[in-house]
This record gives sequence, structure tokens and C-alpha cells, in this order.
Amino acid sequence: MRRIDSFQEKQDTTLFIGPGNTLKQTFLARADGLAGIRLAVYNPKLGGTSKYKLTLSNEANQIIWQDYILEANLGWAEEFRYDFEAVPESENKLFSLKVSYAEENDNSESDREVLSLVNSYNLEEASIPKESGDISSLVQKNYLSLGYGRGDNYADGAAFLEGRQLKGDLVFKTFYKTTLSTFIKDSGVQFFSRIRQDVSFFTFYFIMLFSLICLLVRFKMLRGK
Amino acid sequence: MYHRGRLAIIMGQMTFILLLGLIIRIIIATFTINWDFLRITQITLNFPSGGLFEIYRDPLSLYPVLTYWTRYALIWLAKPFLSPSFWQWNKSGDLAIISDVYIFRNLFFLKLPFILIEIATAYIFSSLLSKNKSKLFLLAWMINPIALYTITAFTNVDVFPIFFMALSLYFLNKKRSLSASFFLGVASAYKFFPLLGFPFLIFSLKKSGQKIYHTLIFLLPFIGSQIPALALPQYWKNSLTAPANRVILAATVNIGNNKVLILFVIVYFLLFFQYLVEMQKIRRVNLYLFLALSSLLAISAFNVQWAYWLLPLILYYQIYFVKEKVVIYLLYLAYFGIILLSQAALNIGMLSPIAPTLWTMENPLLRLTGKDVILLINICYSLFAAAIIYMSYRIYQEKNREIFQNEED
Repeated sequence: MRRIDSFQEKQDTTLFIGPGNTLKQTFLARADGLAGIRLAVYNPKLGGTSKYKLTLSNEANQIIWQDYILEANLGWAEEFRYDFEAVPESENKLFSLKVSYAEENDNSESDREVLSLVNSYNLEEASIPKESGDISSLVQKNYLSLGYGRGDNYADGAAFLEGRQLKGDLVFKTFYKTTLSTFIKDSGVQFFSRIRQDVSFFTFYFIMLFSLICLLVRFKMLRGK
Repeated sequence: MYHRGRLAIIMGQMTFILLLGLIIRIIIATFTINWDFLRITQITLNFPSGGLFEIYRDPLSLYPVLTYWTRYALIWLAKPFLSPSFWQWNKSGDLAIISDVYIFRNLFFLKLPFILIEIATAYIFSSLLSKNKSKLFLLAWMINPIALYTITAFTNVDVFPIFFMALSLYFLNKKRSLSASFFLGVASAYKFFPLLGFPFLIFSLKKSGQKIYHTLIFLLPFIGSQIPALALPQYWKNSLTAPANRVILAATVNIGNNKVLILFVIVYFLLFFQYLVEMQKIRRVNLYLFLALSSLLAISAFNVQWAYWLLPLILYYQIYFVKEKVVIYLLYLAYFGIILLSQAALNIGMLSPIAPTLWTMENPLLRLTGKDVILLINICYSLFAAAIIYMSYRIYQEKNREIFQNEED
């Protein structure tokens, strides 16, 4: 059973992964048993055969696991779900997820430039000259892109493009593995902690509910008479 | 004296039932959320920044203008009690909204008007029955799982058209057909389905002049409320002609040469012809309105929240055909079967204010059922349709008189 740990949902744009355009997101695990990641993925080549490499590393940059995904396994626009063996003692540790293009092709060099330009444009750092508009849209149809939020919406980590730290973060969710009893216990603890943080509302709410129930009982007694 | 005492007892019992309903609803509403409610609220929050243009830019803005205006008015009324974070709902992600510490406060104050309108609707319908039945009807509504699911938990916007439809029936009952036409026009301005009752209402009038006058009164709110948006191409694309609104026309019979017969159109006109013939002996506008709605639900892949349209009819059957419990049990079984076998957002995900992780969960039942889930859902839809058709037939045949018409003890 998996329970949500951290997330960053805001999305303003997408960033492409291709030759020379590797994306990385760092995040802090808030619970033991980190066991799943979800990303907002846009795949223009449905049924395609190109591979992308996913790598999860710890703070010391040691690889925890590495895997390949095929375009054929991805939809047009979907939340890509990747569950893995739980990482023990992950609580309060920093991890990084890297997604890179795992193929070489004849156009790699030119595509690298175009993709970098498109990514810079999507990051609002550059503009695309009119004459290269067609080329850029052609290249965009060949590579995967990930959802990205330009603002710093996730304080415990950052996104990186080719090692360069960006202002924003990728759209992601992380999950940890748990048992049913811990799932219920953790949910209950968080629920009551949230209730306690809106004291004024819940004071009003319970007084109102209590008054209504008293009124109901009074009506029932009157009916009895 | 005796009558006054009896009336006081009945009023006391009615208040007791309404209070019970209110308490149940307040408890459920504060801790449940639905994707539709969240999205409609987010779309409505775009209204102050760009008016109707900003609303209908969103491809999910399916509803007519009055629905968004009403939603915005209710949000504005709740403004003093909502958290500051609420005003960022249209810029935030779902999980951020749901895991916000003020979600319960926001849900309570946003849903309270829906609850009160629904209770008022139940009261109006119950007031159209005899004193004995009205109490039973109200109690059955207050604890009804379809009502609790579709309005309290789901916060279905259909609560507005059904309320005005109830008002329309109420005035029709009072022999104030002009008011009835007006409120049916208001109901249709919220969502188009009450429009199906309009031909029955108009043809119940004898004189041509009356028919024209009533039509104009009906069109006043129906067209009038839409005028500000009619010039927006997005309104036509995303709302008026949206494919999601045409699901009722999906059931067809192939007649060759790329031609099909649309089942709903056939059934609706059969009902209409029967109504015209029968009208010589008895006018049953209310009954035929509900028959049209039940045929709509019986032959379309209806959205689960639409079951609320038929709730008055279902409860009517429950109250008057007490011995036919099996039909009712199977109807509820089929309905909640559809819900339980659907995506998590329609069942376990609605409890996500309590545990936000439920928003991201997959429905565990879907793993158990595997590919058979489609077959199981289809069986549930078929069973629901059978129960609805049978109930409608029984009410039509056995009572042989108008429904929801003031009955004397």
C-alpha cells in the first residue's frame, strides 16, 4: 500500500528531454519507505521505440535504482507512475530523480541545440527566432517532455536542467510504502492535526452540531409526550 | 381544536425530520469533496477577473450561465467565512487545495447553500402529498443515500434546477400555470433537462393565446439568462454544443444507409403522443415530466449525479408501492454498484479531505474485477434501467392519476 509523501502540482509549461537535455528533480522524503514517483509526462510518439533512463540517487549521489522506459509504454499526456522497491530509512533524506534520453541518433547534435532553445523559451529565458519556428516544432514532436512549474513551489528541492539549477520545479508526486494499519494511523494523525489548526471553525462547528442535536433530542421528547 | 393539535404534532414531526436531515448533511458535507465541485468552483473563481469570457474559455465549462452566476453569488455570500487560501483555488493544484488546513471550513460554507436548497426542495415535494405520506416522503428523502451522495457529498449543481422544477410543480398545483412556466424556465436556464417538461405544460393549456403567453414567460428566464454569453463562441463550443451534453442521444438503432433512429427521441415522442391522447380524460403534467426524465436515464450512459433528477419519483414509488421492496433494493444496488466500480474520484476519493492520499489512490475494487469491470458496470446500468422503467410503468398504470398533486387525507 502506498501513501503520498511530497508533491508539486503547479504547472506552467513543459521541459523537453532529449540529447543534451537531462532533467533532474531533488526532493526530501518525509517518511521511511520511499517507494514511488509520479511525473506529468507528454509523449508525442505513441508506440515509439526510443528509450528514456530514470535514475534515483541519494544525497551522496549513489544510484539507488535505474530503469528504462519505452515511449510505447507512455500515453499522450499522462501521469506516469513508477513504483519501486521501498527505500528503507528514507525519512528526512534528500533524493534526486534524473530523466535522460537513452538513445543516440544522427540528428543528436542539431536536436540538442533546438531542444535547448525550446527549453530556454519555455523557461522564459530566450525567444525562438521566426525562421527556426518550423524546425523547433518538428523537433518537439520527437521527444518526451515533463510538466514544470516556473515558480519555486516546492521548498525542499529544486529542478536541474543539464546540471544547472532552475528557479522552479518539475510536477511530481512521491509515495512511501506502508501497511494498512500504518496507513490508517498516519491518515488519522494528520487529520486531527489539521483539525486542530483551524480551532475557530471547529469550535463553531462542534457547538453548532451539539446545539442541533440537543434540539433534535428535545423534539423527540416532545413527540414522546 | 383537535385539528390544531394534530397539525402541531405533524409540524413538530416535520421539523424533527428536517433537523435530522440537516445534521446528517452537515456532518457528511464538511469532510467530502468531488472533482466536479472542485473544478466548477475553480472555473467560477475566474469570473471576477474576466467575466463570462474567462469562464467559457475553460473547456470544462459545460453549464449555462445561470449556474455560474449562482455559484459566484453563493461564494460571495460565504466570503466572510472562507479562508484567504480559498481565493487561490483557481491557481492551485488539487492536492494543495485538499490538504490545506482550512479545507473543512471552506467545504462547510460552500456546501451549506446546496444543503439548504436541497432540504427546501424535499419540503416542497413532500408538501404536494397527503399529510400521512408527506412525513414518510420527507423522512425517506432526508436519509436517502442517493440524496446524501449526489448533493451532500458530490455537491451536484443539479440541486438548482430541481429546486425550481419543484417550485414549478408547486405553482402548477396551485393552478398558477404562469408562475409554473416561469419557474420551469428558470430551472431550464440552469441545465437543459427540465425543458423536457415544457411541452407537457404548454399542451395542458386550452387556448392558443395562453400557450403563446406561457411560452414567452418560460423563455424570459431561459433565453434571457443566456443572452450575455450567446455572442461568445466558447459558450457554444464548450457548453451549448458540447459532446458531453449529447450523451442522451447516443443510444441508437441502425436502420441502414448510415441512418439511425435515436432511441430517446422515439421514446420521448411516444410519451408525448400518449399524453395528448390521455389529456382528454386526465392531465398528468407532473407524471409525464418524470416519465420523460426516467426514459432519459434508462437509455443513456447517465452521469451518476443525474440520479438526483429522479429522486422524487423513486421516493414516490417507495412510499406508495411499499410491497415492491425488491425493485427498490435492486435499484439502489445497481446505482451504488455503478459508483463503487467507477474511478476512485467517485467513491473513496471523495473522502480525501480526511486523508488527501485518497485523491491519488486507485479504486481497489478495479484490481479485483480486472477487465470484467466494464461488464459489471454495464450490468448495473441495465439493472438500474430495468428498475426505473418498471417503477415508472407501475406509477403510470396503477395510480392512474396525477402525481405530486395535493392529496386530501
